[in-house]
Amino acid sequence: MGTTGIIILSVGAYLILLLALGLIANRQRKSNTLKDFYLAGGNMGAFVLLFTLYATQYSANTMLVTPAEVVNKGMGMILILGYMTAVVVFYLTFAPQLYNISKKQSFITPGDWFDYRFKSPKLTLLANGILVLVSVNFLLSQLMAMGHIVNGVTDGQIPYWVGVVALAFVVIVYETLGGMRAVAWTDVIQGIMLFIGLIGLFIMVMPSTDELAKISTWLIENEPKKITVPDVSFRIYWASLLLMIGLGGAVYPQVIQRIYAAKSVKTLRNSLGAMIIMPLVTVLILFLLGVISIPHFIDSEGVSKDTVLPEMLHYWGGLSAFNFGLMIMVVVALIAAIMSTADSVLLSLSSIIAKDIFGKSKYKSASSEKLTKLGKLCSWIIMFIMVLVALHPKITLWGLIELKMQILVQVAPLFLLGVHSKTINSKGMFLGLAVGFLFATGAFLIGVKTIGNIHVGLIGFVLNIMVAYSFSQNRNS
Amino acid sequence: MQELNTTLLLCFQMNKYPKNRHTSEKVFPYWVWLVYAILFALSIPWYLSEAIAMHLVLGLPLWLVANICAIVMMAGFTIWTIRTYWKD
Repeated sequence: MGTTGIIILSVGAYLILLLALGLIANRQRKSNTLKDFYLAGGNMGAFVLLFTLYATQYSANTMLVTPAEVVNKGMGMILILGYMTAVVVFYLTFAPQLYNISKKQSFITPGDWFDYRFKSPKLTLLANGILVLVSVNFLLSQLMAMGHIVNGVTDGQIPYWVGVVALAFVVIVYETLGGMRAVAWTDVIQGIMLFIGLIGLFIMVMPSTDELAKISTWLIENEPKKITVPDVSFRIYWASLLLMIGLGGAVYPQVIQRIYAAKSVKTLRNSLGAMIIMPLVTVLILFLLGVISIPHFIDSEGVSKDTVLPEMLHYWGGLSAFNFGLMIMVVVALIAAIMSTADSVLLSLSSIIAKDIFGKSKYKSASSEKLTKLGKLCSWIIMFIMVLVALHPKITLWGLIELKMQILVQVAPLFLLGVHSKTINSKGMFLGLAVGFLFATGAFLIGVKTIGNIHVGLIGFVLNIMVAYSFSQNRNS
Repeated sequence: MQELNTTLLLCFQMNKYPKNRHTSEKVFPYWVWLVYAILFALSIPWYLSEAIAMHLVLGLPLWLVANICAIVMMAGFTIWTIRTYWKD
């Protein structure tokens, strides 16, 4: 059996395992309530919480983009390590307080926090609208990544559309069966495989410092732009990206729901403490794998951002039988990483639409069980539409990430100021959010992504806070 | 009577949803955020001259190694901070 055959067989076995986990999670459910389905009963232990946070945060974007960006743009892309670390640091700015109150008030969705803190339906609706927009964008990028990676690792034998449709179908089935419980369990398996696979592969293919020095020297002589100290404009861009993705990444709805799902303070504390290590054992390894991939792409101009890692995995896998085993593990884990992010986003998206949008309008008096059923139906409809869109991709993954984060960061003040500020009120917050969102989106849509190398999303975030404070103080005075 | 009922209802709602519903109990001291700001600033190569920054350390340029060291320090500091200040 050839390499492609073994990969297809391994991925197939993994997909069967996922469906089995979905069935087991379905039998483990204690009720058909929203809390049980969307938060696994709010009883998640530290180990599962850590891996589900990890699998959710480390999506296809991180896995595929990191080595590709190193090959294309050089060592300045170490900034990815910084912003993935910043996300965890920004969790700490509000997670301890949010967790305590979420347990007292039995929160299910981010909208529950907005309602509780600001008690303004129009603010909750606007914030949820932004979260839905971001989540749809994120889900789409994951579906596209599914197609690309399946196509890449099978040497084109499995077409893009089959990858998208098949994996999306498996995700929607196990998620409908087991909800957050199934999602979290699959995240644990994915996390462990990715850990062993990446670290193992790194140990096997990592060159000595002499060989690294040869690559560095070659870059200095031939492509100095890829290795020299980034210039001032890039450093400003770096700082801006670090803040924007750090702030935005900390308030993804699926992350907020995982904070709610923690069993205890100790559980959350231990999980976040371990999460800070993850960029070093994931992004740094991917970065270094990118560095050692540079010589393989010397003659390739503008390598596709989505194909560097799959191509290199093929190459490394061919070096020895042991490497081949690790390569298979990483390939399956990569596909799993994409699926686990997609399932988390989808689950979160359906909970917002079912509970916060329908549950507060047309289905106001519906029971928790009925809203759970409605949420499952929403998941199927969303997935169907997104698959159709993903089959006609016209935008690269990096473009999607940039757009998503510029918008998502506007929601961060609802958590940061909501938790810490005594003066901020719903009117100020609504106006701030509206101004920040309109500024960031408007600028992005007319093609302005940065002003003076600072992201428009971050400028919008600052405007957002300034307007929120100004109008809150006017009202208070 | 109706007025009393309305007043009682308002009191109940106020208790349930106090005016400032934030939960601003401080978990980490302010200086912790200052340390984070310094570590993030150190992770960006503002402070190294071109000549020093391009020295190869472990096969990689010094500015890159300095960035990685700053992130490692941030990870260590975060673990210490969580263990020290975030109580049940």
